[in-house]
Amino acid sequence: MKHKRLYLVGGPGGVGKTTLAASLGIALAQQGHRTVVLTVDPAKRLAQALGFTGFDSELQKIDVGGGELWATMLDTDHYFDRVISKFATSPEQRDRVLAHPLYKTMVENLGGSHEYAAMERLLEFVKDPRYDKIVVDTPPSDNAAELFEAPQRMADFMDNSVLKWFQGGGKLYLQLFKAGTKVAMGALKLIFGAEFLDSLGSFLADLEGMQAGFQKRNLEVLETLRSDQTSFVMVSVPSEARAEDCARFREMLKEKNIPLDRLVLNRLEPLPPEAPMDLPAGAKRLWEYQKSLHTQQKAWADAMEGAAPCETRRLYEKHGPLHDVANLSELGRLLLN
Amino acid sequence: MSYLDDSLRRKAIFFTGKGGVGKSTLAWATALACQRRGRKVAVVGWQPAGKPAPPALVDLGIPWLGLDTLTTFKEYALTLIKFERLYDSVLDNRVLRTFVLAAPGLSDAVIAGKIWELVNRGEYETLLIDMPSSGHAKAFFKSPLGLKKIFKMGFIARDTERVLNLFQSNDVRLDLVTLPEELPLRECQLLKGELQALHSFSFGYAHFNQCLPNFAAFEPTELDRLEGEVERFARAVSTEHAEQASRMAAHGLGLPTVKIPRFATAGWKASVQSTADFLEAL
Repeated sequence: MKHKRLYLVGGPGGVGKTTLAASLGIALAQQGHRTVVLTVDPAKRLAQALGFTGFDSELQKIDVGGGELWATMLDTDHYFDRVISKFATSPEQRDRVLAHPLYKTMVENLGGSHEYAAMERLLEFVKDPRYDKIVVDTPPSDNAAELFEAPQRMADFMDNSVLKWFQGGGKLYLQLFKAGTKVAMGALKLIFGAEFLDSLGSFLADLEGMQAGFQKRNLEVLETLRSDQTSFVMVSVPSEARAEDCARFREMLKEKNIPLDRLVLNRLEPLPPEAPMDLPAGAKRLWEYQKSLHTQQKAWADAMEGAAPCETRRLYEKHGPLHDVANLSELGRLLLN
Repeated sequence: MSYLDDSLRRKAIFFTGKGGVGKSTLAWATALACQRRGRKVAVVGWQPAGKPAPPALVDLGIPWLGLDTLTTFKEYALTLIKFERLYDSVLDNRVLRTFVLAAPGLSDAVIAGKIWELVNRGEYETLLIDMPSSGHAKAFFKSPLGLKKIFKMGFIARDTERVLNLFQSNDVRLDLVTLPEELPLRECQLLKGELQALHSFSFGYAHFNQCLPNFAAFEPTELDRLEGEVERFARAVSTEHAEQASRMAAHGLGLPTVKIPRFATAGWKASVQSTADFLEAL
């Protein structure tokens, strides 16, 4: 795991992903690698601990006492405009698309637009030779597949056949359906209204020529995810519900041929210290409770570890201040080794 | 009115909050508590239609409805087109599937429409809706607003109006679920603000899930009787208990709160059952 270049930290929300991504970044930087951490929603307390001054999308250098660590937060709302600018074949096309009434609605509502933006940004870093190591705190998604499917869906939406279909003609495949297309358009008109279909038609026409960019990007993303330079770190907490999530996630990775490098089981409850027999009644109840929490969790942790096709790290819940550089760095080294 | 009584008079309850805070557990536990009172309930989630309930929860015997975009869209289109063969031959193709999945807000709107239909069909008296995590939930609630702008005619336009009315109806409640930790609490406050800006929802309860149980708080005199490792552990837990309480007070969501303790139970089903017992006793 130490020798990879791109680290994707993923998993359901609320399991400590952002903290672990930051600690990986710190540990890598302190080992002398020029590292960048891309986070999608930095927790404020964590940002403060890292010395983030603001919440802008500019790269900020973070002082971790030796090494070089950069951090940036993804501004998903404006990132899409950049993507369009990049793929537009001319400034006129860019302006036409950005000004289209459907564009804003699409960016705001298109499922997975945050995921798409995250993938796009990480690819920029991968292509940038200035960075030795890239750590990505992926957006939480209960349906993790969205993260990997976003570029595919975007490419599909931009697909020529969709465009041609709505323009009513074209390729062989479509000719077979030509008679059907008329009927289908009639049905769609009934459902969506003619006005929308016109608007969509003009929007797709405005996008013409940009499809190639999106499709190429989709392939690049897949290639990057499958590369042996990429490490996928899954973070979870031990419980039956999360074990089910993890199983789904593993299947999805397997389907997409993306190897899982490490499973981190976070927030384990420690066994309480050995207590004297004459523990006060109140405390006794807490001890019993804590012991059974520990036992239940341990059983799920064992099951999750057993099912994981990779090495597992267990991290115990720590009360007290976690978010300082020294603590985070220690955590990061623990993950790497 | 108690939590359960309030739940029993609603036709639908949306449970929303960030991922991993226990929305599913809350939805299933509320369903179980309502079912024990003889109410016909179903849990609704964003999963492929026809897929069984989470394996751990199947034998709770609560009906489960997974809603996915393509199946729901087909059902919807069939109510308009009437002929399944026509749909299969001209609309069920790769291009349209892609379009339905990728078109702005359509996917969410189709599911919102389905929920409207389920509520109005009345087969189930109370639907407990296990929302996807915050970002997607916001997009879901926002979808009819976007659609209202782009669909001015057609059936979608009509149905969008119905969905907007449903979201704001008194028969429907929106509950927030969070953990008693600083970041989740902060995010939940933000989420509430953003949702409030969208529609005039009837917000119901704020659920603080996985709280330390009350016996985790010690009197100073009790702590003084302990020593060494044991004392340190008891102090740390007791301090955490007090901090949890003050965090919850500081990040109040302006709603009646339900503080659900973390149950030391063996599996998901047992935890749903313990949560249901707890909710019934409120």
